[in-house]
Amino acid sequence: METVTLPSGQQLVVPKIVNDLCSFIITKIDTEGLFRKGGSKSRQNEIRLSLDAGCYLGEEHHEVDVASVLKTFFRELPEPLIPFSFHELFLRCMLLSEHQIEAVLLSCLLIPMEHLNTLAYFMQFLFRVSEYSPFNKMDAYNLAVVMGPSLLPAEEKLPHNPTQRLTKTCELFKLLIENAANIGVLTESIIERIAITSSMSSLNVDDEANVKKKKKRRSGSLTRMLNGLKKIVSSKTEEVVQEFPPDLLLTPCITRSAKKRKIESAGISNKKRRQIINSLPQQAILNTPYTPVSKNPDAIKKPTPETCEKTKEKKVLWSKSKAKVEEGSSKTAIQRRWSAVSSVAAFRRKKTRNSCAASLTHQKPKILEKDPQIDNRINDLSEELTKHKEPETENYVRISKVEYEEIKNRVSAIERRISIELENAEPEASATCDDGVKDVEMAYEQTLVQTEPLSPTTDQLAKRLSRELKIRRSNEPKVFRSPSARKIGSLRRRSRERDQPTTAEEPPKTRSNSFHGNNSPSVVANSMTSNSSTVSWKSAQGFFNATPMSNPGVTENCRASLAKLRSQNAGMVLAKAKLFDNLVDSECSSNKSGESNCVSSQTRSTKIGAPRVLDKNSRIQSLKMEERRKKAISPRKRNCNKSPQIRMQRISVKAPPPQEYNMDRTILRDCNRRGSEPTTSPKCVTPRNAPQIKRTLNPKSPRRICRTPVSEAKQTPLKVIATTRNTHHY
Amino acid sequence: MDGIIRITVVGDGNTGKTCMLYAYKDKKYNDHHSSTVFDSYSMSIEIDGKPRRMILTDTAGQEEYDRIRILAYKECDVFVLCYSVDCRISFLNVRNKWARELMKIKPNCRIILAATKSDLRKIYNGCVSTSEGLRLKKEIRANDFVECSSKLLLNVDIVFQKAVIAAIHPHFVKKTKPKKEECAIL
Repeated sequence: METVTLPSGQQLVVPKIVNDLCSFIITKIDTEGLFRKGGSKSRQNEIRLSLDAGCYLGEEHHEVDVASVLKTFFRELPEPLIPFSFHELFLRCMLLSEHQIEAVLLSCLLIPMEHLNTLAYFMQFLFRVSEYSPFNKMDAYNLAVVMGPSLLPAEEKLPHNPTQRLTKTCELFKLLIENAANIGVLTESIIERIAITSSMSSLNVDDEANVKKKKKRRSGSLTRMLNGLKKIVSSKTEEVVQEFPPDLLLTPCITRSAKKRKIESAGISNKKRRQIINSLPQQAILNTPYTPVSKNPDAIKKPTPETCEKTKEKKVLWSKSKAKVEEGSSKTAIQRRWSAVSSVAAFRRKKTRNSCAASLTHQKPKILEKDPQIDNRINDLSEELTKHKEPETENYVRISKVEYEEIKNRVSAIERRISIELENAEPEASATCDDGVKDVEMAYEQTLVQTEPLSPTTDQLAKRLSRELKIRRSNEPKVFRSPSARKIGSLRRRSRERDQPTTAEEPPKTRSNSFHGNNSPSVVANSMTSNSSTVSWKSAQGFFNATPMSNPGVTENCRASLAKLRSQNAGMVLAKAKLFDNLVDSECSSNKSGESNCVSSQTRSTKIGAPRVLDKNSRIQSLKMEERRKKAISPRKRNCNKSPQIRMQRISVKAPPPQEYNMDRTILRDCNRRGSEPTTSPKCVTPRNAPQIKRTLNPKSPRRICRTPVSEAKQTPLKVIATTRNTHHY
Repeated sequence: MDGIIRITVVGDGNTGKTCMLYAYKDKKYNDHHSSTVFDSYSMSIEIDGKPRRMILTDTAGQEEYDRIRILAYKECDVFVLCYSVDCRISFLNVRNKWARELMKIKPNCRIILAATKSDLRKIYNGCVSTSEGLRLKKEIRANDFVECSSKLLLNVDIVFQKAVIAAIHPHFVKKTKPKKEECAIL
């Protein structure tokens, strides 16, 4: 990619190859039949090879061949210049009887940024070629006919009426070539609307730049959350921050007026803006409006809590695996783009991880003075999340899906807490922002209305489009919800989330959790006994509590939710133990199998008690241990290690004298009675438990267990099936 | 056969296919330069005293249109394969691209090889000569070879007459060489 400044003053980022080829062709622009003649295939192949090898085009290359190579380049793009999903939209625009040009130009704003840049560049190039039509006999229509199928190819399956489709394609590109200068430029009407929307937000360039810089290092979901937070907080403290909309869907339009474009062309370059946008949530995305030169400060939309909330909700509602993939991919994209920044960032992140929570970088801008505690916590979590979300980088620990889910749950708990705390601030914020949202939605609706008369299926098309662009239709009920309604919605969503995975996702979760709870002492050599027994829970919890400025309220809130989850887990463990009983029945007597219940509920009591009584040092220590272990154990191994848990249970059922278990049972009862109160010391429960575990598991190190999965399979066929299914998630 | 003769004109871009069709249809030279997407004309001719309908299909030469062009191949009796004498690349492409494409989609198709823009011979040097055209005709086993000029309306009618003859006379069906039998083991 390289930045090209056009004669009109626009700066565009286009693929280098396109620029090279175009600038070569422009030197011989008056060749007759340019782009129309086929040229020689073999010479084209030579050119392609030499271009691939990094050579430059010289005099020996024929312009017709070069033009053909350019056509081939566009034709062989994995996603055509106008992406497949937009074909229908563009062709329907061509069916309009009036306002065709406006419709097409507005549609152009919807295509992805890179595509829009290249399209604008190439169309302006073709316009220049067509200006020489007396010499090269290639007018706009000819060029459209020749280029149309390359830029907007038909899908694999031949359309119903290919000829008509092609004719429309050619008309479309003729129109585009003729209006090349206006591609990606917003019309005055939209600018006016946006100006109204954004007039309430004042400009503070320094703050803006500041915020942008800081944002680069954050992960997507959290940034979105923080954007909302910042908005709320800043409006409360009456410090206005300029920002790009976090979710640009509602408006296909950051913009500047035609006049201002020229004046401000010395402003922020397009490239820079693109980078900034890329660091924004969702990677700026399908719908990033194209702002060829610097933006109009007046025309920036305020990010509203609603937008943030919506995105959040949408995010959560996604299927989990998909969400994870999304995170990963977007992350890599950021990483790639910010190769320079990321190396530093990665280093810092790594450092933070090693020193574990103690030295956290407080990168929060000053605007957030109001709630520094919350922000610090979020920062910590974002650090944690960033760490966990990069399975492909070797620097980072691989995190199991379970742990990811835990962190996610925790974040949502914090979110809830924050929303409670900031509820007072929200009415103000939403009051001011609602208008803005309405305006933008009106603009969008207008666009919809413009395309409405196309055909009866326009609605469907719009729906599809909105689905693909993740635009919320304006008539959906969620848009104008009050804060309390939103809260209820988020609660409902969360409960749904909790109920949902009981069939498929819950069992592996509990299993691996309980495994970590029980088995970790054997994994870690010997020094850590009770402290490291609740590995997977402690990681986030530890981070949480070790934060220098901790908010007791939030912590307690979290604990309640955690306790709920834990009790759930314990329930699952019990259920599993019962399942296990059936297997053991043949070997054990009935009263002993009853005790297996007891063992599993011990696990539970350990879990509840453990993280609370830990002092800070031991927490940090255990975190370090945990990290070491995370490095050591690959997800696969973890899966394999599930079977040792079963084995351990089995052995421990046989081995210990029943008296000890009775004692444990009384303790357990205490625990149950007290619920989430943190009085139960793990030291009074686990030490009794730990030696047994060690004794039973020492002969079998996890490594060895890994090597002999076949025998495990024979013993517990059911579990193994579950395990294999589980491995697909990693 | 329903009595309709279908003739499809193919060849490289900018070789003068559309012009040739116009010259045949309207008996005049049309000096407009516009790329074709897909076009077809229907006209009536008299063969042996009986009127027959003839459908002329014009195609785009650019490779972007490969998939659309193939649609015209299905119901076609004769192909008029064009190259322009002033453009050696189009001549070479007949061998390298067009003959292969036609053989692949319609192995027993009848082909009239037409050299267009023959009037340009006087203007440019290094044009494709008649003997080269005849050699190419044998090479691709075309039914006939005609040189024509749409600008001068020269031989354009002959191109389509030969095409019609090739379409209605069954003995013009090409003899295909028997393929060598492949080794069964390999």
